[in-house]
Amino acid sequence: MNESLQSSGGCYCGQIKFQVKGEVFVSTYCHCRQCQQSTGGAGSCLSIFKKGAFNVIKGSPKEYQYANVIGHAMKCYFCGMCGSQIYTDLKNHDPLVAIRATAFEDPIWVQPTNHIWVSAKQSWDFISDDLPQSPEGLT
Amino acid sequence: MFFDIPMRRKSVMDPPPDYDYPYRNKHVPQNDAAIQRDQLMSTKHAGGCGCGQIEYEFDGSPLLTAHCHCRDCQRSSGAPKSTILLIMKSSFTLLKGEPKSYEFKLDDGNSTNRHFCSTCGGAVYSSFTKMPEILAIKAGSLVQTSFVKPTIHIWVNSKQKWESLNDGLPQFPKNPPMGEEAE
Repeated sequence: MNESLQSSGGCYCGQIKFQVKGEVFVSTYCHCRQCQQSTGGAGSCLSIFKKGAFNVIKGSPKEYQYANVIGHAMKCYFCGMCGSQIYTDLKNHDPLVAIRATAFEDPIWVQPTNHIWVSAKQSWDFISDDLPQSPEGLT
Repeated sequence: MFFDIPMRRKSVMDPPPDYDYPYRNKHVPQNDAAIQRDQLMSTKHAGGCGCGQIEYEFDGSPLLTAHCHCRDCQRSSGAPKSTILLIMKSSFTLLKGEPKSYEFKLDDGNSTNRHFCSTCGGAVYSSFTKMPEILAIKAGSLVQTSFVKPTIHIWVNSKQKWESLNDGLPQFPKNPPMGEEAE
């Protein structure tokens, strides 16, 4: 399923637009506390691409820097206007970029293959599929 | 409950000593004793954004807790769904900070105002022009979430195809029937 694809997306208000052209490294559900806090939900679904495959073609997303639970520096980007979450720079997995799957205009090609940070999963977040689960992040 | 003694914290900044504070880039497993005490004795729930600029609290049990699969929730959060707690606006107090808001227009002419932290982008709550007395708290913004019990899935007709929902909860294609619409 690692076929080359071209897809575009952006924020709700249209200030930010991005494009990817290349292979999906992996799509994964993330249940970490930062994903919970930024999305306001149970976690997010991320499509991970090589950085070279990803281009912001309009606007400049706002950056927020934090350290995750194991101390890795992370930078997440969102639209400063409408608050839509766009992508995260994975500093520990340079040069990869984790794009929020539903920030794409038509995320029909997304095929999540695992769950990460299940150790931080909320009790009310029910995983109803058989995908492999990992207590921590991608290795 | 006869032992329902009010034991309220002065503010969210002042958690009880045995409270495992799962806040700000920590995801420590929550302390059982604290969870039990919260469930039995406290009706106040605290929350905020990831960077700590925004803090709020609300009193009482949510009217409804739902997983929402609408495209606007997906768009704004970047996640396949969001989990919301509907509460009365009167029970909500903003303790710190001023969230930024953006108006998401709906097809029926109403709109949803999504309130988020302008520093970290964390989604905090939404308000609705159709139901001005109601707020939708984003479950991920709560400090202590063990009381959260989602009971339905809403807007399932815009659910992503790759998202599986086999948790047995009732599913509604759009909003559930409410108020006078419910028969």
